[in-house]
Amino acid sequence: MSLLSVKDLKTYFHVYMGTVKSVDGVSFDLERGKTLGIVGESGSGKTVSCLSLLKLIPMPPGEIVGGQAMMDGEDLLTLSEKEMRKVRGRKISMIFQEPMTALNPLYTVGDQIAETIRLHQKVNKREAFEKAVEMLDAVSIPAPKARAMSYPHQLSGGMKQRAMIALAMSCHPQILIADEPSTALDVTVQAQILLLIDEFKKKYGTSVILVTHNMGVITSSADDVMVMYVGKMVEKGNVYEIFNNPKHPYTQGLMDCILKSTGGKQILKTMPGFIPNPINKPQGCAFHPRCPHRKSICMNEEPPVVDFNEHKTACWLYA
Amino acid sequence: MLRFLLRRTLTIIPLTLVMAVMMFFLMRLLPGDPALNILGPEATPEEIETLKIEMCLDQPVYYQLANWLGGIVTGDLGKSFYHDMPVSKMLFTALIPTLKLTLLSLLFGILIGTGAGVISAIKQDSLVDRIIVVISTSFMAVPHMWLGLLLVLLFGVVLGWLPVAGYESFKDGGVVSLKYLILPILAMSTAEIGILTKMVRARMLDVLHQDYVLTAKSKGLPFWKVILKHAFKNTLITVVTLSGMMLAGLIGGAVITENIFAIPGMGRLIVTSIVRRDYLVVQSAIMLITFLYLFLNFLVDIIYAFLDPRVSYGSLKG
Ligand SMILES: Nc1ncnc2c1ncn2[C@@H]1O[C@H](COP(=O)(O)OP(=O)(O)OP(=O)(O)O)[C@@H](O)[C@H]1O
Ligand SMILES: [Mg+2]
Repeated sequence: MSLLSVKDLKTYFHVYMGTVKSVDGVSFDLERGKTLGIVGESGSGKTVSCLSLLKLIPMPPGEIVGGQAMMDGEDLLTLSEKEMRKVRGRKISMIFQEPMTALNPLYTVGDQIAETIRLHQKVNKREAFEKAVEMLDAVSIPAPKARAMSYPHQLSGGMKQRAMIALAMSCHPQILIADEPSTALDVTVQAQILLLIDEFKKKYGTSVILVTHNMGVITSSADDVMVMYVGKMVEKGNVYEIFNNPKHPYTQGLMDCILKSTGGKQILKTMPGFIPNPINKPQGCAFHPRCPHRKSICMNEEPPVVDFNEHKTACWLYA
Repeated sequence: MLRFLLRRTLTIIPLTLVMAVMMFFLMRLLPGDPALNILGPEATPEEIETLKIEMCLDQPVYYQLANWLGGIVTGDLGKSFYHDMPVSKMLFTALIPTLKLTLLSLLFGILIGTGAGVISAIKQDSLVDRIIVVISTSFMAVPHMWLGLLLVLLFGVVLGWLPVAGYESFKDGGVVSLKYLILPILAMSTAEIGILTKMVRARMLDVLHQDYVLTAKSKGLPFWKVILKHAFKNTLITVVTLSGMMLAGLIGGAVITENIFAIPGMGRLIVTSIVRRDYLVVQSAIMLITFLYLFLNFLVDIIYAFLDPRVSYGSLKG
């Protein structure tokens, strides 16, 4: 049985202009000790999906309209705020895209990690700080004791993201959600951060949800992949399947983008068209205005999810 | 840090002196003669001349200036022309009500302003938020002398709950003596409350959208801890900055407020002394206020360093 099973998650934002269906019926499973990659263009609802699992959507304007997220026999989405606080940081942790701003500038790195430890474990202040130093050591920060006493502005970007991982992993959560953990860092540091997450995954059997726009990152780190397009799952399956045999025209387009740009000639191929306005999504399949294989039914009816042996796609081409 | 302290202390002194010298000349540029003022229009030229000699006003201006500045160094501010009393004693008696008034107004304004701002931000777009925004905007628009008079009319005259004007020292009246300060403080702090509420609300909204607040929530911290420990502390810096800036306004405002409410503070002393052409009192009073203002701003900078680890005066060159 999978560790986390999300079914038909719907998170909407009620804004002045109307309702943004940021996540509109997304389902996925996260296996124990595995990494699920979530890819998709900006605005496809990756971050909102992740935040919904921890009920960290700003409400209002946000609202989790429906769905289930089963973990250890309970539905995370129905937990009270008080119960949810015991999940956050202990069972599920999250790290964010911008390490520069993810740590509070007014407290030392060690204090911020120790704060999490004190919240979820019965230890005193000094022990918590010692554990924080151990965590900094575990993410290979040199001179961890001195670093624990440093303030965030005294650390480099890569170092801060390591510290964030130390913070997130400090209570050995079962799930680590990493929302574009390396996007804001320079290329050499990016790889180190991803390796570090992989290391923790192997060492503690942590399951990882890895959000990215970068297909390259997915190949090197993910076991399973879910591709999202304006709030919907368009394709998901095993990473090899998705790469060798992409079914959905959108996934094929994404693949084309990386294949062309890594093909030596450095021609950056882009997909034609733009992401639709989330308030006013096209009827039928949201991708149809950009789709090269568009049929008339695509413009009117939402595509069904077609299952090819654990490799699923929502597209009229296969229905 | 030590160097910073030293450097700032060293800048406060010359600035105060420059202000003092400017006041010295400004006073002398005012038309009117102190001796004539004291003796009245009936006085004979001889009487006026004698008094002038007694007050050293017959001496050349530079001599008077040197004499006064020399006195300051030795701690002697001279004597009032009008009252037979050392200036230092007059200043000291007047300083206490003014300090009480400005500092209590500041404190009251900070408490109400930040409180309202934080609540408004947490409850963004709710009814409470809208009410607070409307009130704080009108507070900013109301001139405080006008508001002071209205307050006097309502609480002093119509309702009769509070004294219309006057002052009692803490030594004489104890806690009850503070009732004289309630209306002046209300009048003085409204504008401050308006500005602080708006700025704290804006800053708090900004902070609440910062990633580190999300990090704090994702740790599993309870709501109030996220707000107080992580969000509010980052807003506090704004409060301190604004408070430092508002002090100048409050000290200026005290002059008017003290006159409306007949509080025997620095503002009243300065105004009456200017009318009387009591040169030495005005000069020293302005000098003292300048010094206080600079000193309090200096304190604000020190508080900064304690609040924000990114502010490090030690690393500043010079
Ligand atoms: N607080 C909010 N209020 C209103 N709309 C929001 C809010 N947060 C997100 N949205 C909307 O939800 C949609 C999905 O946003 P989300 O941040 O999940 O995208 P994403 O896939 O993470 O994109 P990116 O790759 O840029 O991070 C967007 O259209 C966005 O405008
Ligand atoms: Mg995102």
